[in-house]
Amino acid sequence: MSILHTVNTSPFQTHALQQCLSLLNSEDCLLLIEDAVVAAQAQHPLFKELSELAEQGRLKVLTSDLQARGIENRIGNQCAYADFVTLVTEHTSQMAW
Amino acid sequence: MLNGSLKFAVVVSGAPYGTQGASSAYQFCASAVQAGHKIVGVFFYQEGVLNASLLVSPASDEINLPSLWAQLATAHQFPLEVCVSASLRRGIVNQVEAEQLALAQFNLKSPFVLSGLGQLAELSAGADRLVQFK
Amino acid sequence: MTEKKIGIINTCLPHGSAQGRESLDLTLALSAFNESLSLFFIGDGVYQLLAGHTPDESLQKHFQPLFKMLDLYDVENIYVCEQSLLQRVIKQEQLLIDVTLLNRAQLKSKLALQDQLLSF
Repeated sequence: MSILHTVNTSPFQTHALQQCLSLLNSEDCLLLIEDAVVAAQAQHPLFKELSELAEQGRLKVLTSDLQARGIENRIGNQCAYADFVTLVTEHTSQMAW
Repeated sequence: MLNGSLKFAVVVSGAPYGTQGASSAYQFCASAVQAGHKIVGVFFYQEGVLNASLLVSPASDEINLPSLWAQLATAHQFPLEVCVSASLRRGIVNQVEAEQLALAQFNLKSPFVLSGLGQLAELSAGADRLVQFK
Repeated sequence: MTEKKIGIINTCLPHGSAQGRESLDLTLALSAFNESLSLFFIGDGVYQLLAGHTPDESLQKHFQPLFKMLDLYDVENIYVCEQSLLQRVIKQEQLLIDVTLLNRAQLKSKLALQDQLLSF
């Protein structure tokens, strides 16, 4: 049983990322989509925690949303929508923060 | 069905324009069917019901999300279920409701259908995965 | 087919958005079809349950009494984040209905048990 968490807002704008990280199980994966992709680039208070997640291969960032915003991720694995679909199949449930 | 193919139910709670969630949901659905998975249905709730408006009229060089939903659902034969109570509050009305409520107009786009939250229960029960976009 | 365990997560204050009300509408409707619902109130979502909403002058629907229907509809798994209550200086006695307080670790394991999640 594991959860694919999707966050779609910037950590500078909402507490969604913080709440998500505080409830992340050790088997769970985090996918940053839409405005949340900035969290894989900018230096914010949760960056270190996200980096640790990235080192464990549990942080994904949607490529098209990075490109849309002209952002290059410093941490996490880029993924396409096809990978997003695969991630959903690999986890029991999805939580949209 | 392909090996490893799953059934997805998708819940959309974002408007077709103004926030990105509904576009993300559409792209997810398009990728899921392309990968050989089955969409058992998309349930539109909250601001998501605005995706069902016949009156959405973006400029010709912009995306018309209601039309994209209609095309994808028709091509892959899955229902576009729109929560009736969330719809009526936001001015999405079909012909039957318009007659009952004595409204001069209706604006539900085909093949979207108004349905109750019970339909979400059915989609949930019939799906291997439930995915939500807001 | 075994019944799906559905977790409904509430994270928003009432009245500033319809999240809380539409979450409750959905919960009450689903309860007619699914007996394995669990409700979670975390972050600002705990204010949904703080007794004493009086939204009439804000032109908002007073939907809080509907939370009492949960018991009638046999929705019994109602979990509230203990830390969120502490941060907001709210005591359990101030909540409108009976709930189970969970710490972070307990919340995580309850969330992991769900087959499907919907958040508001």
